[in-house]
Amino acid sequence: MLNFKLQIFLFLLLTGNLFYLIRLVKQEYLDLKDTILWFFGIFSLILATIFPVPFFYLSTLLGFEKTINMFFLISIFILFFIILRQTISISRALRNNRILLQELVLLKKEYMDDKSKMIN
Amino acid sequence: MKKLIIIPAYNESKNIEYIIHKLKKKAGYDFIIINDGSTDETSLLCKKYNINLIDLPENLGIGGAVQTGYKYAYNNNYDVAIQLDADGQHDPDFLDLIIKPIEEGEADYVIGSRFINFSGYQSSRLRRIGIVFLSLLIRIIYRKRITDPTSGFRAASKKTIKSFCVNYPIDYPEPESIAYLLHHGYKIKEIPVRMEKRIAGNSSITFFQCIYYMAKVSLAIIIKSTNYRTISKGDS
Repeated sequence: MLNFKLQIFLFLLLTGNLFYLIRLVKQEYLDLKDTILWFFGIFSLILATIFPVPFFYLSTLLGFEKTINMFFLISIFILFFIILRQTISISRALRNNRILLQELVLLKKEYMDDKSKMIN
Repeated sequence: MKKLIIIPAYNESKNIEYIIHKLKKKAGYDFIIINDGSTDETSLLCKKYNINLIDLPENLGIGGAVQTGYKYAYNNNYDVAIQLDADGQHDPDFLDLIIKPIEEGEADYVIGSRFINFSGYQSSRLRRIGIVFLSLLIRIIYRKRITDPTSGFRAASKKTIKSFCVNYPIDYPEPESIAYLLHHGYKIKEIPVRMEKRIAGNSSITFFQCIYYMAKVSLAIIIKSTNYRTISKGDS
């Protein structure tokens, strides 16, 4: 079970994180759609900090030796999905960047060809 | 028939003059060099000889550069696009042979293979092992014998050009593009060609990249088959 002092400490830490995340969205450093997983992760942890008892029973039911191990595992999964989402975004951005660059050079080529035809 | 030769070039200043002189002698073909963000004199040399050139400001990788060429071919209404390496490995004397099956309507995509007549440079032993493996993988999945899946000497019909404008692999695209076409029912034919050892410089794939290359390409061939099958089932 969680120690009360640790509970307070985790709650403050996570709430601080939550407000920081809200500020980033408000200041448009982040798009809301990209932060859903972060919000979900922080909310889940806050919930577990405030009401640890159901999580304790759940972890015992699932066969974890310690409740904290279940938290670690859940956190790893959330982080895994966040990284996966980021990889998807990077792949998409690179693809879009390539298409734009190709269109740009093809247009430039067409323009230069037309220009040289006009001069000649 | 309008014919275009696409030559992707990345830091090929030592080889590009040779290929330019060889291609200038070849009548009936237009050619375009796609300078893939080279940091050497490649672009300057092309400009010096007043060659049809597309200068990419950033390095897109071989697939991105070749796709730019296919897009150029499509925009300018070419009937056949031939891909040729800038390192002098591919002999332009085979150009007429490689486009023949397309002209006669026998194939949508023609690959110049060095492993039919086994003449000319046969690549290193390690690479040949990789080629045999990829060839086997394609044969198992797509039931088609491709003797030289890594050959960069290829010709594409108008239909294939259009398809490549939308979908072309980015890195190490040769075997993957074959998998893509076979899955979509394109007719692929191989013809025997003779290849030379590259004139200067090192190949884009070094010994240490071989493992990554094999893993990436094999995975791509397998994923392409499953993925596209699901999509095509959904479409029908």
